[in-house]
Amino acid sequence: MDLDDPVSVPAGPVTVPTWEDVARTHGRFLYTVAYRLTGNHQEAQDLVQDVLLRVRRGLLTYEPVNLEGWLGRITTNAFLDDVRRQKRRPVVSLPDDAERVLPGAVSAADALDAAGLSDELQDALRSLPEEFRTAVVLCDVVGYGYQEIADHLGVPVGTVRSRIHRGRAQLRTVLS
Amino acid sequence: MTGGPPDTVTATGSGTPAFDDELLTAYLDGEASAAERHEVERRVETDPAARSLLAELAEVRNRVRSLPAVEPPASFLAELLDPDLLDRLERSADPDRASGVVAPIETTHPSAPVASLADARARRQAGRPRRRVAAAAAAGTVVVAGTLATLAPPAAAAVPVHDYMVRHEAMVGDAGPTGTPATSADPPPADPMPMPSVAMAEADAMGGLPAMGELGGMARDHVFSAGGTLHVMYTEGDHELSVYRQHGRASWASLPSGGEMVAIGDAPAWRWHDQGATVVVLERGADTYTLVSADGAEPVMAAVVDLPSAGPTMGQRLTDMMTAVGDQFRW
Repeated sequence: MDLDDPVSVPAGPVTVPTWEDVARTHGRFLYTVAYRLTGNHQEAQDLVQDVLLRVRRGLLTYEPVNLEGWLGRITTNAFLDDVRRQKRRPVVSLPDDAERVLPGAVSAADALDAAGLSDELQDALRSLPEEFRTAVVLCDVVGYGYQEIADHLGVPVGTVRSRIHRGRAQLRTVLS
Repeated sequence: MTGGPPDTVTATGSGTPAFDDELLTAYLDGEASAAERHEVERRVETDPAARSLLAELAEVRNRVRSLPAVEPPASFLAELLDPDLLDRLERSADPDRASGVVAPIETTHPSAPVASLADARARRQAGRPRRRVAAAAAAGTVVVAGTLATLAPPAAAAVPVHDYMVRHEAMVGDAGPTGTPATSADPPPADPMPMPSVAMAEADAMGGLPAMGELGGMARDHVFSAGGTLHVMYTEGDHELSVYRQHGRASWASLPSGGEMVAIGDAPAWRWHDQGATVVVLERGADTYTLVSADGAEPVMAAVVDLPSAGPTMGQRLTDMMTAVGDQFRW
């Protein structure tokens, strides 16, 4: 996670839920989004930790509008940061962490995670390119509209539509 | 789909005017303009391929939207409520702020079966292979039976662990009501939270107490009550156990540092163990229980199994609890 990357939250009057409130009430949702984005439990847990830190900072200025939408956005930000970091990470310098460096290189443990605790669709979702998977998850798991996704990802609405369409089309092919 | 490979924008209807398949997705999501909706509807009426693709995309969309919520490992959920977790994560996220090196692996006990989130993060950032929390949980057989999402919004109760411990020590001292001789030359400490005694008949009339009449093979010896807190002392041979019950959820943030969040059965719990003293805080139903013993983990371990719970069945609950408790107390 880029710790210097500030979390964008609405400004305004503050009614601050505690992390305990967030975890108890929205922990399952948060974990679900993290798992759908990453495709395995270990990375989902790592991601939730990143989110935990961002939420801690963001809660200071959080305006209670749509907490789950806000959490979904933070989760996706953390996920995308992680993806970018992996892309920047030189393979040769981290030989013990190859599974994170090489997209698509699935460890045996992760494969067991997916096989035991998910289904064919989760595997198919995981096989999507990151930008397609992110768009599909934001749309179909988090429940964002195209404009919200576009704002969140910083891309045109047309690009969002294309990514969702191509993501679903790939899912259709994989599942057929 | 009658067009090209799925990762390219395709056009249905060979021999008919070009049609952007993406309109079908926008149509399904309610994101198409009025003109686009009209175009899609006109197209699917006349183009079987477009009609078929629309149906298939709709099925994929519905399947993704119907994916169930993912159950996190109970040990992970328990650690999320650890009041020290945020600080540990901050340190591991910024090792330069934490003495210039990535924090070493630390657990309350070296054989603790539940992986520490912050530790796992530190290992990840150090470029070492990460411990598989899920695998560790599986090996430790932490029973997954509940989620944070299913917990009611907290009416969090501060848990005065220190006062509970001192009161327990005062009670089992030579001036205590159990008559157990003091094992130390030091006089027992002053009771920080005096509570009037409750007659057994009255105690039996109080909710939750009948199930606690016998706890882990220990007999109920004394009952006290004040300010909504119930304190029941149990004895068995030389063993003494205090069980404190408060209404409401536990405020994990109120717990002192040094303990560890774990999952016991279907609920998060906090445990602390040092020099023979054992404290466990856990939620059962709408109440928070704090168990204190100066006789090691065994009395606490046995008692936790008998605490009131809303498990699916008594047999299953006991089986799960015995397994989980056994694992959690391998210190």
